Amino acid sequence: MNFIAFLILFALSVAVILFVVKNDIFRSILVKVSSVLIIGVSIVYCIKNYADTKNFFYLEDTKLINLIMLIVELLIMCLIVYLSIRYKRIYVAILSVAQTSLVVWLEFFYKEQVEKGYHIYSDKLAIIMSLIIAIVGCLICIYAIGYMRDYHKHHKEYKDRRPMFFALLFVFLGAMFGLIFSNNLLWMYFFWEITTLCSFLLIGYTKTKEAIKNSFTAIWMNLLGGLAFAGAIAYCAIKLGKLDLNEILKMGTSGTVILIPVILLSFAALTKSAQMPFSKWLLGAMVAPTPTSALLHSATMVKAGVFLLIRLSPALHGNLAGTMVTMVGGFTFLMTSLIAISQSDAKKVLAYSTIANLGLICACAGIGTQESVWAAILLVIFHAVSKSLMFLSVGAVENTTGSRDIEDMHGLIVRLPALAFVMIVGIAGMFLAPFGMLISKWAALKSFIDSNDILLICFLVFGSAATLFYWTKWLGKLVSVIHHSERLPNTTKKNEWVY
Amino acid sequence: MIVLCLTFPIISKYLVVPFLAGMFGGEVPIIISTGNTQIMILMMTMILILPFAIRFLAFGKRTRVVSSYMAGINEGDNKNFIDSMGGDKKMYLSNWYMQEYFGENILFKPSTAIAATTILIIMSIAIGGVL
Repeated sequence: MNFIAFLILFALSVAVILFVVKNDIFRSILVKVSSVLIIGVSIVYCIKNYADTKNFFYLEDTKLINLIMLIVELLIMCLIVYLSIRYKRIYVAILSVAQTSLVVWLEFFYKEQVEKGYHIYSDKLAIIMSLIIAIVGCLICIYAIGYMRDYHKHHKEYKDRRPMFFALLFVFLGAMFGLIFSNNLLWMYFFWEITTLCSFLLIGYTKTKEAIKNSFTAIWMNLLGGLAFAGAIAYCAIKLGKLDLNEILKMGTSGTVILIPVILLSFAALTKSAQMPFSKWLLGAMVAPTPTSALLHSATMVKAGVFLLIRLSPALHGNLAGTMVTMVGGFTFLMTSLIAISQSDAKKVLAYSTIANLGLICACAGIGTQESVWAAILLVIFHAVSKSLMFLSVGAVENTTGSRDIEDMHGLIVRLPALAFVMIVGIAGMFLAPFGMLISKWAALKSFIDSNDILLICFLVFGSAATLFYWTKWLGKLVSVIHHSERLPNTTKKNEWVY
Repeated sequence: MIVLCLTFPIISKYLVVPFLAGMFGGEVPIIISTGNTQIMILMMTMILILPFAIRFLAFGKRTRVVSSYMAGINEGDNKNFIDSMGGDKKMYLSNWYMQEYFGENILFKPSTAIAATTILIIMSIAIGGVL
């Protein structure tokens, strides 16, 4: 319990300090030390809880915590409303006000009728997720120190708002820890909203016209998901009288009809994990500095969506909600893999491949059998690691050569051998045999076949073929040596090498 | 850290399976059988060995190093060639992106529409059916 509280609160308090500190050197030391601490604590937590299967925590006195959450939620709403009026996008304000008022209304009028449930729940899935968030997320933060220094050297036109940037990164991590460990739906919703807000602010970091436009795309799509989440909470509280996610899922597996909250929750998860009708926001997120995109794509944000789907997966087995999730996920996997073929911007390719892999994870979670969930969890892990590696190396290459077009990466193995090697490891991790992705895809294919869904198998087979094609293209570009074969001086910072 | 990334599959294999066993409360079915894994490893090593093996096969035989073929006369450095008009051309390789088949502006909108309708239809059936 203490560990969980530490993970959440420590990240948040570091964020507050980072927000105030203006000194460059102090900030970099603080980021490094706290990242190491977070990683260490999460590993210790994993080892200590390895033996226990399930842990529930009921917090007796949560009045104060609930009050703080309520106030923060209202503050978030005010901030979103203010920004949306300032940039003349009223629909965002309406979405935000609608869901926050729904939750506040529940908090005041239905709180008494709701059965008391556990607040914190920590199982193996939460531990795996916390390890991913801690290790991958913190390494991205360390990488960001050097990257952002270079970034502002290259882009003098943007205002240097690094204190806010780093503060947001840590708030993001804290919110993710909160999200994965909470069992009470209201608490989960609270952290869900924080991640939405953080991603919105991070995408709009440069404050250019495009960045602002894309950040608003991100926020309206995610708020739509948030609205569905709030709707699910309202349904659970009023009709079922429960806000305990585990209890609700147990009802789902034992045959009670809980289709509506489950389908609303999975809708929210689909928006957050950028599935097909909503994938535009993740592509738009590419305007942000590379650490942001790496964080959004690998360890946080999109993983929050698939985490919720994996949690829900026992209740998704063999009903309409499951069909929706699998169909949308499989379809997204196929289409985005095909589109990725036609892209030459490295970050765009990575974005499409992220969406494709998330689609695959969604499809696996939607089937809801043991082996498909096995595949889904493995995909989450491998995807987080190799995707963050890819993003960071593309960012480093961009800072060194000034371009992130794949065509310009021709013969990178000669020009920047070390970076190219890292990139090759990343690409290989995405699709080659001895690495994890292929094994998880194999497992996914097997579970799809066992579920007798021919359409889904077609999605997976053709999608995987396209995946193979675009990764091999990129790989070939890296190792082919014909022209421009002079070695460049490597300007990558030491701390960017941590990965 | 690169080492971690390389060994990651092995580590997670030992970590995830017991995790899952606890999560679902039963034993995890064997998803990829040992035989298949062995075949995969065999194929992998074959692929890795082959390039080196070819070098060994060529050992001892007299090999001629020739300049690579291009669409014109090679200028000798494998980077430039003389084209059919008699001028120098720099050799350039590029990928094939198939914009006209898989372009973003061709595929993105229809697929968004299809996915959106799927979600709308299923959600309305579900919510309408239960209420």
